[in-house]
Amino acid sequence: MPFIIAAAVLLVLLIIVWYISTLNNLRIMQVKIEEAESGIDVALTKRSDVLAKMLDTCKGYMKHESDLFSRVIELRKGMTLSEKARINADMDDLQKQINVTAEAYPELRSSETFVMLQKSIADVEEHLQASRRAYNGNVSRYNQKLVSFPASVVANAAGMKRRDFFEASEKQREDIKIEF
Amino acid sequence: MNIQNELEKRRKTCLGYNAVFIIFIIISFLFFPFLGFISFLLFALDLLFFIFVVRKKSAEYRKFYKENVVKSILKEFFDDLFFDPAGGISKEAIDGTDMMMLGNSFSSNDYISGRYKDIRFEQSDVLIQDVRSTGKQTTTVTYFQGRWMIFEFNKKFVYDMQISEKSFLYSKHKNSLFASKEERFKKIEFEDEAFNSVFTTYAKNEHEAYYIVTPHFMQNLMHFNNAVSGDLLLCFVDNKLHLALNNRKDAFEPSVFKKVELAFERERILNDLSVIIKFVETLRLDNDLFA
Repeated sequence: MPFIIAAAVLLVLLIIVWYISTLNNLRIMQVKIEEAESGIDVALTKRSDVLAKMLDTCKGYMKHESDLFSRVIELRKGMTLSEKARINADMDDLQKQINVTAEAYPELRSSETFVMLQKSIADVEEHLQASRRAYNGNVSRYNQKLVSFPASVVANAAGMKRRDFFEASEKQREDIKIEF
Repeated sequence: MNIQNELEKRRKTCLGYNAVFIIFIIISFLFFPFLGFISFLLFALDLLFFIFVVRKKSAEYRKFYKENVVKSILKEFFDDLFFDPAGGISKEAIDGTDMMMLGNSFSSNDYISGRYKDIRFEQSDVLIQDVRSTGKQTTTVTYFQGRWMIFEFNKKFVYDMQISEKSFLYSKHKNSLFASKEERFKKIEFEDEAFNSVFTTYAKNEHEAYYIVTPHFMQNLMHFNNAVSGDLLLCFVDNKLHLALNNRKDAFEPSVFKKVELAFERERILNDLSVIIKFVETLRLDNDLFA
């Protein structure tokens, strides 16, 4: 009898340890997702700053492009992932518009500041792409864990939900199409 | 001076000295039962002859070959070329990556530095071994034998990263619990399963790993890996990319036993240097990403 009680206590202890460690792992994965999401925020902020500088530079050369300068892209705190994706798509549009408009202004295109800003924006986009892939990688691992038994039992008990992916914008998809 | 004739003359001299050495070895063994100590003396003299004459002649022949054949071909492909057959990438440079086990025996030769498509690089043949002796028995484990190359990298990065082919056995990285958080490497699993099945990636910073290893980079590295024989190790350190190709070969070495045909040698040397060219071109290191 004491042996059975000891075995039962041991089993319960093992289950508790397993439950806590699985829950900890899931929480660590959530933190990693949040860290990766903050990487997206940083890249979006940088992109918005560089675009604002580009617009400022353009203003000196383009006197009659009020349509371009009236566009506002605002990043707010606490934006959802889909809002961030929409803002990113808006930035793609704005950038495309700047590039198309700049075609008509050779002086602008050859200006040192504009060339430097174009390089900066390309680098920022690379960083944004990296953040998106890192985020999606973490989300993928987390979502897989949520649906795998027995971790799914712990996830359900803790009320953990699947996370959404950060979708690539049209421009990033186009880039990939061109490369292949 | 006709290089072909001069090479052949030097090769035959080397071959002759080698033949003398082998003949005397055989004689000393065959006559040992009859001559005893004299035979032993002959063997010892023959060894001294090998160390001080045969090796010297072979080294002179190799030096002549490298100065007159290899260097002229390298000049056709690389700008700002510096070629030193006796020099090599230093042990400290490799140790500085902190990503390769160094054993207790290190040697390097055939140092080349230059630019290809405006990308600065240096490379040399490297041999890293661990030699252990118990008094009765000596065991030599070869950690690395092949080409070590260092390239300028076209993206700026702060944190170190390592990409190692799974068959590359003697790489190292800090991921122990005793390493500080900033120093610790984390294993990174990318979205490309095929890439993950061939290479293992350790990085100090996940974001930078994704920044450097783009889907195109992964695809191009897989192509490069298929195009060259040997195991690969890539170390991203101090804005430089170290590429180690463990192919158990010594590049740019002439054979003493085969006649040197310049046309054939050219093919062979081109094959040896093609690793540098393929790497820059396949990985698009010359691509100014932000132009």
